[in-house]
Formats: sequence, structure tokens, C-alpha cells
Amino acid sequence: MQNIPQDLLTGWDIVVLDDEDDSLEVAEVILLEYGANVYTAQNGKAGLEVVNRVRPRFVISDLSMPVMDGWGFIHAMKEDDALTEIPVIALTAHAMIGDRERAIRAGFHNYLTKPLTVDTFMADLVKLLIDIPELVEYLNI
Amino acid sequence: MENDNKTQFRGRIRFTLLLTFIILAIIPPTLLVPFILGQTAQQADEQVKNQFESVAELKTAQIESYLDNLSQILEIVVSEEELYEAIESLPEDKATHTAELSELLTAYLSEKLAAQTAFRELFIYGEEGIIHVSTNSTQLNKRVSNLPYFEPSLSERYIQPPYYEISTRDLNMIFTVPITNEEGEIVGVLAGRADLAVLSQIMTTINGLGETGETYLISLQNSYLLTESRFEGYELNRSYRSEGITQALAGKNGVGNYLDYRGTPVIGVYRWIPELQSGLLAEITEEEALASIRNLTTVNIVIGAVIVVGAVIIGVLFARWLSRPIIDLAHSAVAFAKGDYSQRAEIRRKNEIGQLGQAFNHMADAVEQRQNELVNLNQSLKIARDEALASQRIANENSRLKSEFLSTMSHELRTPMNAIEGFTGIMLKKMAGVEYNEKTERYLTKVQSNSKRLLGLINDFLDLSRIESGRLELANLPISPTEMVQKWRDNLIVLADTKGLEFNVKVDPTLPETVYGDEESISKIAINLVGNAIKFTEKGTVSLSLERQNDKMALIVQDTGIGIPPHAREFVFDEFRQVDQSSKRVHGGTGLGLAIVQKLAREMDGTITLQSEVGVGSTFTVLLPIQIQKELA
Repeated sequence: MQNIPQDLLTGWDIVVLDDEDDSLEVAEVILLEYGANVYTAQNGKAGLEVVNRVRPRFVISDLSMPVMDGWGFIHAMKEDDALTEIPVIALTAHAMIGDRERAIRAGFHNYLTKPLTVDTFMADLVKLLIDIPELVEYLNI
Repeated sequence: MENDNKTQFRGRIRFTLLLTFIILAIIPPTLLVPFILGQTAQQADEQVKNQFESVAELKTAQIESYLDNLSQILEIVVSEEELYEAIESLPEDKATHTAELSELLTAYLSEKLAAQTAFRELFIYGEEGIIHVSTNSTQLNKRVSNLPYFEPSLSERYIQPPYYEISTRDLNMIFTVPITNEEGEIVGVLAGRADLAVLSQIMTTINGLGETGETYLISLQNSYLLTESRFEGYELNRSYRSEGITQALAGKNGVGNYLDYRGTPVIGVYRWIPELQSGLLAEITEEEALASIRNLTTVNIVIGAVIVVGAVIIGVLFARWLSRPIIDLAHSAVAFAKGDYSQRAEIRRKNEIGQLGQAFNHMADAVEQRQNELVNLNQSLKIARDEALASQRIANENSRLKSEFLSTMSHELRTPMNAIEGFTGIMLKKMAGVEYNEKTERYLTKVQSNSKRLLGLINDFLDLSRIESGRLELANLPISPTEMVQKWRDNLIVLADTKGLEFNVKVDPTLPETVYGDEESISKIAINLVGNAIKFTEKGTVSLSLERQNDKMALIVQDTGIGIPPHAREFVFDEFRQVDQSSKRVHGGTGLGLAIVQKLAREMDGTITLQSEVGVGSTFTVLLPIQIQKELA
């Protein structure tokens, strides 16, 4: 996993939701580095609009956000038949024991904790993506 | 409701008592009085009958005496010398001497008539049945041969019982004595017409007969009354009928209770008097005869009524006297049962009922006291409960605030770390066209390692806080021990490699393929222990094994590190403790790792033990219960 191809995500549409500009930018920079088309929004409500428009391969969403938080967002995604199949990965600073369990129960595909590190973020992400059959065929591994 | 009960109580017990008293009061008189009265009436009846039998005897005797007297009077008249002298002085020539003789005899008879009062008329008739001499001149030459006494009178002394003579329209009673000559031949008959008033006088003498007693004679002939009735006087040509009359005229003597000729109930004595061809009856109305009994009955009834009324009054009073304390007690008990604990029975008397009331009051005192104690206790309990609830609310609120604070701290500390870590990494990876020189790289590396150290500290601190605040929620999900251990190896092999240590992992094949639990917490224990082992081991081997020990799963981490001296083994699991302060600087770390391990193990009902030898190494063994089934929530 050390050597993740630079073109891993080439042509992928990915939506990232986070209310913190800096956090958003870190994720955006890393994903762009691997060739993805990154769309961002700063709350769940705006995120739903973007997701509806872009229909991304997957979504990375913060949990604590104003207007509509990550829990509201995942709920809306699971309720909408057109969006329910799109995997959503939680990315949160709420990284305490027991949080992962709760997130998966709510419908998130999986769970990454902040602070993300450049060294391990892509590796962790790839691990999660491999679990998703619909995405495996697109991975350039 | 209460009033209904009151009425019911009073009605039942009072009524029962009252009824009992009345029945007890009424039964003896009602049973005895008729018996006594009956006996008395019978005795009175007997007495009256005896009395009237005596009366009848007396009257009969008087009548007989009367009859004898009258007969004797006639005998005397016949036997007097003067009569015979007169007769003998009669001349042979009857026709010439008749007038003279008549004159003589008439004078003689008139003299004798005047000397007595029993006869109204004295007369003499001959064998041919013609009255020759009479004190009543209108009777002269009248024919008697067709009259009932004529035939018997020719042969002997005779009494013609009273009979009704159509010619005189009168009752007659004739006494006769034959007149004989020297040769003993009957030459005529001396007859006397009795004055029936004398008989009446005998019979109507009512001395000792009371108000309604009477004696009278009834003729066999047409059942005519011979003497005056006390009530209806004397009536001719009337037949009198009654049971007594019938019996007497049938020749029987006796006594009985029957209706007399007036239809009045009487006690009567009847006698047959052959000389008079009549019945004698002595009667008295039952009303008078039994008046004493009737009076006695009245007295008895009055006494009985007085007794009953008295019994009712006494019964009412006694029932009230007896029932009132019981009723009061019942009311008190009912009121008490309904919750009026101040209710007490009034003690009126010192009998058993009074004792009952006292016992009730004692009980009521005890109950009331206990009730008050209960109320007070209840009050205290309520206050205590309210206080406890308030404390709990505060505690819950504190806990919630603490949890919220932890959550916020976690988020707020990690968020800036994310930017620091992220951008440092991006720069070091020269992403987004970043360029730097060697010095920049060296400094950025320092920023990165310090930010990692800070992050580790933050993570450990938050985990520990969360466990200690009791906010840890353990998952209960399927875990594959083999896969879990593989993940740990993947995670930790890099760290071991960087220190040039050998890192071995081993999984006991007898462990179940799937166990249930919180993989994140178990992993945290393993990673902390292995991380610690690597940290304190300079060369050699760090090994991790997952074994089955009976019904427990043992996580064993062994190293060939510096070891832990005995004195430090007690506090090695305390927060912020390392063996000595210097080691912190040498080995780094927060000192929270083992504390977190121990607390997590305890949270999962597990234990942690330590074996160590300074300079040889340490072995940490964590025993966790194996759950092979999902626990029901």
C-alpha cells in the first residue's frame, strides 16, 4: 500500500463535506493529488444539492456541521432511493471509543478520524474502498 | 353512605333485641292466661250449676210443701165435724132440704176460705158432676163432669195440675178430696181452686238469684208458662221452648248450658215435677254467671297489656342501653376504617362492652400512633427521595455536561490538529506543487513528530476521561480473532521495524472462529501494550499471542525489555506514571497507556496481570471473557 498509484482516482467525482475550510482544503489537496474531481460543500444541506447534481462515486462527510450535520445528511441519503447506493465515509474529529459503532449503525459505509495524516489517509481510504464492490472495478490498482 | 350505615346498624341490633324482649314478654301470658281462664271458667260454671241445682231443689221442695199444705187444708175442711153435721142434718127429702143445706155449706166453705189464702174458691160437686155448693155463687150448678179432674176425683184425693180452662180463660189448678158418708160411700167431692199467685210467688222469689237468675214452671200442656217470667211477665197462650224446657218436659232432671226461651245463653237446671205435670227451670245467663270470669279475663288482658307495654318500653330502653355502645363502637370502627384515625369509642359502662370499647380505643391509639409515624416516615422518605432525585438530576446533569465537554474537547482539539497535521504532510509530500529546502524539511519533520505526540496525548487523555466518566459504550459485534490479530500486526510491524525488533504474533487455533465484543477496545489494549513493549525494548523480540484459557481469552504481550522493578509494579497502571521521571524523557509517551489498558480490561469484565524481571523483560496478560454469542441488549 505504500505505493499508491498517482492516477488512482483519475476521473472520479468525489464530494467532500466539512464546515472547516482548512480541513476541507487538506482533503481536497490530497484527493486532487490522486486525480479526482473534488466537489465541496460546508453543510449537509448544501452537500445533498451537490450530490444530487454530481452523483459522485463516493462522499466523505464531516459529522459536526451547521444547518445539517453529518447524521442528518446520512439519514437523507439513505431515505432517498436515488442516493442510497452512494457510499458515504465519515471523517470526524469525534474519534473516541464507540463512535465508529454509532456511525456504522447510522448508515455510513465506514469511518476515518481526524486529524488525517497524509501518509496514512490514502492507504486507509483505499482499504475502505476495496470493501465496496461497486468501486473496486474502477480502482486503478 | 355513612348515614345509610348508621341506619342499618341501629335497625339490626336494636330490632333483634327488641323483638326478643317482646316475644319473651308475650309468650308466658299468651300461653298461661287462656289456660288459667279456662280452668277458672270451668270452676265458675260448676259452681253456678251447683248453686242452681240447690235452688231447683229448694223450689221443688217448696212446691211439694205447698201442694201438701193445700191438700191438708182440704183434708181438714172435709174432716171437720161441722161439715158432717151439716150433711147429716140434711133431711131425707132432698128437694126440700137442698136450699137449706146449700146455705149451710156455703157458709161453712166461705168461713174456711176466708181462713186461708191458698185457695180462691172452694166448691162441692156431686157424683153427677154438678156443682152444688161454691164460695163463688157464679159457679153454682156448673157442670164439671167434662173437666179433666172429675173422673179421678171421684175415687181419691187428687191434684189437677194447672191447666188452661177455656171457659174461664184462665189457668186453673184444682185440689180435690172425696166426701164420704158413714158407710164410706162417696157422696160428693170437695174441690179447691188454688190461687196460682202463691205458686208464682214461690217461683218468682228471686233472692240469691242475682240479676238474671230466675225459676219458673212450664206446663206439659202446650208448654205454657205457669209462673211469671222475670223478664217477660206472664203471657197466656204462648208456648215456651228451649233445650232445658224440652228436657224437663221429657221427664228428665239435669243441668246444662243452652239458649233459653229468649235465645240468651244460660246455665240452666231442669226438673220434672210429676205432681204438677210441669218442668221446673232454674236459669241464670252465662253472662252473669261468668261475669267474674269475664272480669278476670278483662283484668288478665289489662295486666297482659300492661306487661306487654311495659316489656316493650323496657325492651326499647334495654335494647337502646345495650345496643348504643355497640352501635357507637361500630360507627367508630367504620369511621376509623375509613381513615378517621382520631375516632374513639365513648366508654359509657364498665361491662364487657365497655372493655371492648377500651380495647378498641387502645388499638386505635396504637394504630393512630403508627399511622402518624408512617405519615412522618413517609414524609421523611418523600423528602429523602426528592433530595435523592434532585441529587441524581444534578449528577445526571453533571455527567451529561461532562460528556458534552469531553465530546466538544475531542472535536475542538482535533480540528486544529487536522490542519496542522494535514498541511505539514502535504508540504512534506510536496503536494500541490510545494517546494522547500533541506532546512525547511527538517523543521517540518519536527513539527510533524511533535504534532503526532500532541495528538497521542490528546487521544489518550480523552479516552481515559471517557472511560472514567462512565460514558463508554462497548460494542457487541462479531470479531474474527485471526483477522483482528492480523490487523494489529499490520499496524505495529512498521513501529517494530523502525527499532529493529522482531515482532511475532500467534493465534491459538482452539479459539472460536467468531467471538462477540468491542474490537476497537480490544485493539486499543493490544496496540497500547505492544506499543509500550516496543517503546521499552531496545533489542530482541516483542511477541503477541491470543490464547484460550478455559472460558477466557488471554492476550499476552511479552518483551525482552528493561523490565519493571517490583516496587513500581503497584503503580505502573496509574495515570501519568512511568518508572521514573527520567524514563519519560528517554522513552517518551504520556504515561496514560497502561491506565487506559487496565480500565478498558475492567470495563470488559477482564483482568490484567504483570510478570516482570528487571533486565530480562516483562509479560502483560489480559484475560477477557469469551463471548461466543451476541449478547441480548
